[in-house]
Amino acid sequence: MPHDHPHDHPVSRDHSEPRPAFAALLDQVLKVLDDKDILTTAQVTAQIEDMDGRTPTEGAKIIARCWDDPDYLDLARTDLQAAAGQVGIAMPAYPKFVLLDNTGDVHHVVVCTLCSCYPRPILGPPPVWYKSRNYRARVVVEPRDVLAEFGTTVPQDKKLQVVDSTADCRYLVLPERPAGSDGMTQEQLAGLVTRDSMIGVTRLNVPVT
Amino acid sequence: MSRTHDLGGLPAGKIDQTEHEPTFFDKRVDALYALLTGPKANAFTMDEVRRTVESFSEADYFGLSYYERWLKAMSLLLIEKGYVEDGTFDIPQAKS
Amino acid sequence: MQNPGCQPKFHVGQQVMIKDDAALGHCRTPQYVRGAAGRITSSIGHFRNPEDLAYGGSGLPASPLYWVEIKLSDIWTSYSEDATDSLLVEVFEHWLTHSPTHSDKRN
Repeated sequence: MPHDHPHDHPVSRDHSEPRPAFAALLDQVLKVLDDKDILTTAQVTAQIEDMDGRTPTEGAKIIARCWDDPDYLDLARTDLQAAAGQVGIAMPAYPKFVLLDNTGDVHHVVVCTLCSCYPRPILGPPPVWYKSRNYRARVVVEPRDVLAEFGTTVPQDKKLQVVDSTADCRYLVLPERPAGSDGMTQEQLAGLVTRDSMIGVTRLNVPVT
Repeated sequence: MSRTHDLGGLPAGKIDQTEHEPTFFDKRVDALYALLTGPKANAFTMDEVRRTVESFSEADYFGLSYYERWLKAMSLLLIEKGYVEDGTFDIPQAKS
Repeated sequence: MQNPGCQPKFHVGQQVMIKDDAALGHCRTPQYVRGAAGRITSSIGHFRNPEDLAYGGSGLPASPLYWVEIKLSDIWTSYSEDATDSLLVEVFEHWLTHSPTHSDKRN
């Protein structure tokens, strides 16, 4: 391996409640910001409600419409911010949002090796594994092994492209439309789309009924 | 500069795919981050938060939860940028 | 962010090398791509410099940012998966240089 890194790391605390000292610190910070009129409690509450409304279900609407509407697909490829707006997702002007087409020739998978950049306005907060040390360390060096852990096999003759979200772009993967989904409505198509397929760690299938 | 945060290619094991719904603590810290780096409050930039997190010891970077890290960094920045006086917050220190 | 006064130095399709410099502070060029040779696939636009933003600066003038595609086998000599597999990474212009004849492979 290219770099020495002998230390063992403790198990991630991301699956648990904060320790009391951090819960207390948060209360102190919120109170001071409110006292100084930097941020009000109402602003914090409104921001939480806004973020609660941003989920992979919203992103799935973009994907379903891309599969179903060629003009919309063109728009999403050139201006994903505008395309997200058209399905009712309020988007910030910054950063730049980019659609990555997964096709018969190339499969994209997204990571942020330096921190945890993620298309939050479209998908909501990232899953814990996306932020984890092991995902961030490994997916750029053994992506096919990492995808296999997610149950995904990319054929040997298909190019795999890992996209490291290092600066000012946030990426949404457009998964391949699954075989057998012909004739479905956009709502039915959106129901097939998973969060992980929009990060690129999985592919989609039509469930066998 | 420490490269504690710069993880691409480092030896690492299996990925824990356990799902975790954000707690109320997580959501409030997430909201603080969005608001304090946002255009209205504009208290500091995302890159200032990143730079502060990147200055943490390995004990803090890997020992704190994701949102504990963010909260600690934002508390330090509020002091550094002069919004609050040093000593206002009880900021937990990493065990060495 | 548009900044017509500062034209991008590199063009799409050009072979480039990511500088193998030590970062003196915060930067967004990961260690594992430094010293690697790749190809510009797109000029993304002008963005404020994170190395200045991180210390309270304005990040201006905005700097050209590019997508650079690098073969994973050019980053990791031990890469044994598909030879066409690649990495796409956003790199600021001041981290890029013209490509020398041979890439500096790591092992």
